[in-house]
Amino acid sequence: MVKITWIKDFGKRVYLTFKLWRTVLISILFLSLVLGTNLLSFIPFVMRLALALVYMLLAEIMVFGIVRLITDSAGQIISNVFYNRKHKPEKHYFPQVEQIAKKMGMEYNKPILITENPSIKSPSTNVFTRNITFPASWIRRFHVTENDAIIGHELAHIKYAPRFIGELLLITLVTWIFAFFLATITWNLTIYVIAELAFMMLLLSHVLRRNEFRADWESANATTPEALISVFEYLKAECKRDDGSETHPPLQARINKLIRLLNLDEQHTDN
Amino acid sequence: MKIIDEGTAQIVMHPVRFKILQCIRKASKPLFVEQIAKVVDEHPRLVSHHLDILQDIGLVDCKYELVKAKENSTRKIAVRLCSPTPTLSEVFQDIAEAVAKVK
Repeated sequence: MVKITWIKDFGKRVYLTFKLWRTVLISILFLSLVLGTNLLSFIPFVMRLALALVYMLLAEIMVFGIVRLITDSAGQIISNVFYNRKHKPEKHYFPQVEQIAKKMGMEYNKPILITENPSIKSPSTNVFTRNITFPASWIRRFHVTENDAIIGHELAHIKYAPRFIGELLLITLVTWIFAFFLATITWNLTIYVIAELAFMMLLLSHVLRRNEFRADWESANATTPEALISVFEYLKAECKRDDGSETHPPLQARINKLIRLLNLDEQHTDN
Repeated sequence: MKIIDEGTAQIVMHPVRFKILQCIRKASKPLFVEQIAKVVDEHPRLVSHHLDILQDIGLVDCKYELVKAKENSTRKIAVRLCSPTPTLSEVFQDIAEAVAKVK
């Protein structure tokens, strides 16, 4: 029998995301109806313009919601919120984390949150609270040196958080300009959302993937490239196809970049 | 059948480590890192990292020895010679038995 669990998972994620964004969705539908059919022609132009701006803002939030849904982060965030209410994640203080952070030129002395949540399949970082969440299965699965390299990768996300947030804001600005341009052409919600979504995904994917490469490079320099390559090789063997995702580049591409670092180190040693 | 613990199983099941262990096990004499790297087609530093981990859990025994850099040369270099430990054969036996049971 063909396994259809991923359809169930995807359906669950769609349901939870729309449950979260339902107010925004209803507001967008209402406003597009009102603005699109020109029902408010009797109110002053300035007020209609203000309403149009609210519409744009809500549409932006909706687009962000859909992007998060596609990139799988919405499901993880929602599931984590519900799971953490019942099972608090364990806080573990690893002394080597502080040392790695120092090597990377930053301060970090917070404990690592270790969760048994089965839907958290990889480590994640909240750049706003500076919390690193680690699945307990990864602690068991990988060697200490490899876990250090993974923590280094997550620390690099925290280190580059201001730059990353700046890049995201720039994307939002560019998408807004694009959205304004679209709004002059059409008020059709479907075309508007799909075109804007495609444009945003394109930009976002590039920035997110570059952010991952940057974190790999930083972690490899602070710990060892071998440990990170080893982790990626393990993960590559686990997945059937190594195509990467919207947020993460293919594992082979990441391995190749790190092997380049290994060769670079050797050249320095030879010289 | 002695069932190996989860930690050891996870470490052995790494694709590169498994190839390294097979290579060391099949060899008639201790091998050094460069030789293993050639057989498994991986970077020597990567092989060295995996050997550290395998040595940690007692599957591989590593010793440093001085050997001639070239056949006619008098200059000697230190190489890391790796050989299997008795635990490695037990682990492979366990895996073979577990696979046979599944089949």
